[in-house]
Order: sequence, then structure tokens, then C-alpha cells
Amino acid sequence: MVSFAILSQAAELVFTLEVLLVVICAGAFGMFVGAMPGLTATMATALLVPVTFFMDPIPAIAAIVTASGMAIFAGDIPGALLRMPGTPASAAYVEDSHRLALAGKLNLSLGTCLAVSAIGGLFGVAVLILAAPLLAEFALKFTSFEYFWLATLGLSCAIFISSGDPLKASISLFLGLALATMGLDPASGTPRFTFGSVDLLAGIEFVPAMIGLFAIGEILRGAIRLNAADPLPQVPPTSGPLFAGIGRVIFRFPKNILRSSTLGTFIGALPGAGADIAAWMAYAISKRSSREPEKYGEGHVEGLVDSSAANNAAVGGSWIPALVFGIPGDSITAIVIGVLYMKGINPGPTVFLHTPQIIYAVFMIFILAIIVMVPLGWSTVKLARGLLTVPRQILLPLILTFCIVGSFALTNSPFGIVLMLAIGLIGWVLEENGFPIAPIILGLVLGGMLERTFLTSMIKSGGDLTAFFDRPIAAVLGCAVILLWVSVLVRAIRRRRASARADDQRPA
Amino acid sequence: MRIRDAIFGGLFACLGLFMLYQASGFPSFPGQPYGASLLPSILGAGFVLTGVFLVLRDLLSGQGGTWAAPVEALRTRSGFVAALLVVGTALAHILVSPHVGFIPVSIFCLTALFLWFRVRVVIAVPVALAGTAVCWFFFASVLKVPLPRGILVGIL
Repeated sequence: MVSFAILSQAAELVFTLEVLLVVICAGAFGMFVGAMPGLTATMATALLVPVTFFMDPIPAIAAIVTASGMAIFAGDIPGALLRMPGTPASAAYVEDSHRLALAGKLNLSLGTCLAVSAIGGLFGVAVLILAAPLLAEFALKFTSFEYFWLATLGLSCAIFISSGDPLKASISLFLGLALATMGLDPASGTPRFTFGSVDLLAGIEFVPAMIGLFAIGEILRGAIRLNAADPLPQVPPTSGPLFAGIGRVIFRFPKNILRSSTLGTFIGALPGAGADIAAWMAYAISKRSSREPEKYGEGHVEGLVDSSAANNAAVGGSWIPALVFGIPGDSITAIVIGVLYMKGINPGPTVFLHTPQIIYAVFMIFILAIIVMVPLGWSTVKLARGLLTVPRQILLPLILTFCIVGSFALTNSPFGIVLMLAIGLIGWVLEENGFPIAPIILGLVLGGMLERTFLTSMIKSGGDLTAFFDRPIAAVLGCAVILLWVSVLVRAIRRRRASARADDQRPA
Repeated sequence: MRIRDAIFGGLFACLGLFMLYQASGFPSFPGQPYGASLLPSILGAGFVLTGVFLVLRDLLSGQGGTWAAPVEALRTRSGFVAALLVVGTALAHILVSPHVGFIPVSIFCLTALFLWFRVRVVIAVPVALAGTAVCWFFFASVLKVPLPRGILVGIL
């Protein structure tokens, strides 16, 4: 059990003027980015990283936790007002929230989203606080074999859960892992794929790569369509108290909130799946188990309750594998793990043992971020009309300059910008052709761990692959990985046969 | 750019072969049959396999179509120039700014982008100046990032 001394140390770390200011500023920033259609929560996090580079670990984590949570809620705002989800996590229920707004119930729609997001978020954090230390104690017994399988399981989930095309997702993942092998090999010091460049000896700097992948692609996509884009549609009016009638909604659907918060936390905790998948699944389950499934998509509040709870619960859930094993639950926690490494904190069970105050400080920041979310969200909804009129033609060039300076700041040389541009362009072309981007960043973050644990295990076992299944937990994890791959292969073969049969039956 | 999967598959298979070739030159750990080459070789083989699969899947699907074509928005003059300006801005910061300095390059690029996006000159120039000033203040003055001073060395 956690001692009072640790909690008070953690509170000392969190309740400083600097951290509180960071929470408010990052919160406002996350609200703004999330509320702009086309700018995602991942982009909000990516844009923050160059700034967090110059902060102490706790304010840096505070900035990311607050901004990402806010951005996920704020994505609901343009969804309801314009039928354009601000982030992919709000896409599942955009139809319902917009129809409610058109029917004059904008406050009911956004107020429900905000209140339920806060409840879902708190649920996810509660599970994180309860589960993470227990899991960490368990994980202390893990050796390189278990970590190897965990990393493999995480990467496999990233391929199969988050993408409709496992083949393309595998290629994206290989690309991320290949990027991670560039530079001096940490074990033997051999330069790999450096092509004589001194800059590349240090490997692919994580932050410029991430800014390139998540921001440059978005900027390019936005820029080439900007002059041809239609003007934004009329925004429905926002007046009256925001939380009127929300209590009734919450008391009407307590089971939905509990079910979707649990589902969201679980999906978030799965490596490779994040808030957007949680929201889609919660919406689908809600519709299937509802007494009025025909009302879904027509402006029904029930689906809204389920998916808003799930997507914010996923934020807390995704931190469980990140903190306990150092394995990211989604692309945002992948960025967080990169930031923690930069700060000299290697996420894993030993952090719980040696510096538990940092872990409890993170928990406190989560709760603080959710508390701040309610007033900040309220004011963002009130200011939403003004926010949505900030012209994108001014915003995009400014964000581009910010990305360039941020990438420069990480290497203190133009090489950071070279990396950002090159990886950004490659990522853009790949994404335009159906290759998912998230596996690249997961591969880049997990590549080092995968190689280290694999080589250590190979040396320990003298090259005997059966040793990977000798320890019980390793064996279970290994079997889970194999089962996952086999099930995907079987499904693919079945699908192919079914489509071949359909082709045969079609009259010539 | 829309490019057919078969071309991507071919490119990734070539990348895999290149990685396998390069990795064959990496030394092993002393007394062990493997070392720095192990993961790059596995990845190289992975690229070759998935690349070939992608080529086969595309060619066997019999869908045909053009091999490579720019996306709809990029075919318009406005979209094409916008993309060039975004890439050009990054290139200018890489190539020109070490000599001329961050401030002039940033003001010039921001103004060019604003004007192309049909922002009026009376708004574009002040916003470009203010945006550059905020970036300089935040990164160079507060965070002490050594942004290139260029021709303004001695003044700033």
C-alpha cells in the first residue's frame, strides 16, 4: 500500500505554481487544437513535445496529460456544431450530437459529452491507480523473455486492431522498427544505416520524426485543399445554461456509463488501440443493447453517453501498459514514452519501486486535469463560435513555423528540420495510399526495447528458441501472440475463399 | 500522390534486399553467431516478404488502374503551389536560414503562405511579423534555442 510520505512527496511535486500554470495553459491549448476540425489530439500532443523538452519531468507529463484529455473532449464541439469531428475519437457519434444541436438541444448534447467525459475519464484514472501498482509488482519478476513477448504482443495488436489492412500495417510497423535500428547499435556500437552521416550516428531523433508524421501530413493535406474548401456551415446558436438537464441523462443511463467506461479503459489498455476505437465499439455495443436502436444516428443521447464515456476512459487506460511495462497503449502514450526516455525516466515497474512519488504525481495530475476539464470545457463551448471562425489560412502557416522551430530545437541544428520534412513527406504519401501511421511511431518507440530484449534472451538461451516458452508467463504471452497471428491468417484465408465462392456463383 | 500498391510493394521489397545486403556486413557479438545484424536482417526479410505479397495482391486483384497519379486537390494549380510552398518553407529554413537568419526567412515564408491562401496584405504582413516575433521570443529568448541570427547578428 502506498504510504502517506510518498503521497505528500507526490503532492509537493504537483501542487507548485509552475505545474498548475502548465496544466491550465496546456488545457487551453488542448481545447483549442481539439476544437479545430482537422487538428487531432495526437497533433496537440506532438506540437507540445518541443516545449516539454525544456521542462522538468512532472510539468512535462502534466502538459501532455492535460492537453490530450482536453483535446479528446474538445473534438466533440465542432462535431456537434458543424458535423465535423474535431478528433477521430468523436467521429462515432457525430451524427447524433449534430442532430441534437440542429434540434435546438446543443447544450444537452455538449453538456452530456462534457459531464460524461469527466465521469469516464475519472473511471479510467481510478482503474489506472488501482491496477498499475499491482501490475507493476507482478511485472518486477519479468525477465527479457516476458518483455520480448509483451513488446511483440503490443506491436501485433497495433497491426491487427487499429487497421483494416494488416499487410499495409505490417509494412508501416517494419518501417518504424527499421528507423529505430538506424544509428549506433547500442549493444556493440556498430554504426547501422548511417551512410557516413555524423548526424545519423545518434539515430532518428524521435520528436522531429513524430512532428513530421503527425503534423506535416495534416498541414499538407489541409494546405492543398485550403483554397478550394467550402466555407464553414452555419453554426447553431449556443445559449442558456450548459448543464441543464444533464443530471437526468446521467441518472437515466448509469449502466451505459459504467459499461462504456469499463470497455473504454480496457480498449485503451490494449496496446495499439486508443480512444477512437473505444468510442466506435462503445457506440456499436450501445446500439445493439439499447431498447431504441432505431433512434441511433437520428439525434439520440444514449449513444453519445456511451461513446463519450468510453473515449475519455481510454485515455487513462492507455497509460496502464505505458507506465507499468513501458509499452504504449496508443500513439499519444507512444509520444509520452519518448518524452519520458528523454527525461531519463525509463517507464517500467522499477519506476514504481525506486521513484513511486513520480507515479503518484502522474495520478494526481490525471485527476487535476479532469477537474480542470469541466470549467475549461464549459468556457470553450461558450467561446466555440468565435474559436471556429479563426481562419485556417492563418492557422496552418503558423503551425508549420512552430513545427519547424520545434524540430530545430530538438537537435539545435537544421538536421531536425531535415528529419521532420523527410519523414513527414514519406508519412504523407503512405497515409494517402492507405498505410496507417500509428504503427510507424509505435515501431520507432518500441524498436530499441524489442531488439534489446530479443538479443538478451537469445544470448541467455544460447540461441535456443524454445527457451522463449520456458517461463510460465512468457509461455502464455508467447501463445497469445501466436494465437493472434493464426486467427488473423485463418480469417484472411476464409475471407478469400468466401469471395472466391461468390465470384464463382456470379453468372458469367 | 496515389500510387499503386504494386509499386509500393516493389519499392519495399528492394528496401528489404538493401537492408539484408547492408546487414550482412555488420559484425556479430564476440563468440556469438548473431549481433547487430539480427534485427535488421529480420526486418529486411520482412520487407521482402510483405513487399512481394503486396505486389501479388495488387496484380492478382485484376483491378488495373493508373500506376501513379497526384490526388485530386494536387492537380489544381492552387493545391500544387500550396504544397510547394509548405515544402519550400521547410527547405528555406534548412538551407537559407543558417546564412540569412531565422527572422527574415520566417517573415518571408509566412507572408508568402498567407498571401497564397488569400489573406489580405494588411493582415498577412502584421501577422507574419507577430508570429515570427512570438516564435523568436518563446524559443530563442525563453527556451534559449540557438535559432540562426544570420544577418541580424550583432543586432539581436
